[in-house]
Amino acid sequence: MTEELLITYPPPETLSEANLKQMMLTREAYTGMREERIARERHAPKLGATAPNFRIERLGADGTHSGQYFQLSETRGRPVALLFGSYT
Amino acid sequence: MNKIYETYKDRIEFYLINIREAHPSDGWQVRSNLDDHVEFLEPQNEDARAELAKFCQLNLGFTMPMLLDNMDNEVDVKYAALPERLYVLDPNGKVFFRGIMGSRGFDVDTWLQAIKVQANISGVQTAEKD
Repeated sequence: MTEELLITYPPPETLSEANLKQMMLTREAYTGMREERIARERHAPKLGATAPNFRIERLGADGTHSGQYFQLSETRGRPVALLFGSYT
Repeated sequence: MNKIYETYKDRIEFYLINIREAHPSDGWQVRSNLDDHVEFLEPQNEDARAELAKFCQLNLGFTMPMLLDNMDNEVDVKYAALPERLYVLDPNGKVFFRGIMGSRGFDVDTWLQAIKVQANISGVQTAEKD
């Protein structure tokens, strides 16, 4: 069974000039952003698939470099909750 | 968010992964950030990215462990994460829950439901604080 491709970005032709102005994007920029995100979404790990491994730096409690690295595969045996984001 | 972490951290590992900026001043600037004076250029190296992550931790007050995606944006690309996204993995490293990409798909309640299921599976029953 294939999962539905879930994207919350409406097609550009459904957006008014006011919508675009509010997003501070031109219609072309919006279209490009949406297509790029759809393309990336197609490669997102599917439910039940093995989550891709990665090894990146841990940050210290005060948000600074720790010099220590975290590897996802080391968490096997324990469930993991991930929250992705940035400041802006 | 901190409450979820504090409630389930004994049974589930939590990680907040800092990825590239969704709305840097030199990218897709948005009105809400301008209104809040949140204006930053996209960091060009890991030090600068860590600096913003520190801001994130101090200003938004997250208590869960934080990780820093590398400058190849490896983890963002692997998980189609930008601008923001939630996942829950089972103890075998399989994807048990994946949120919808983006702020409109960012649904903490469905994430919490998945966390509760995994917390129960992971066995150790502790009294829920709710």
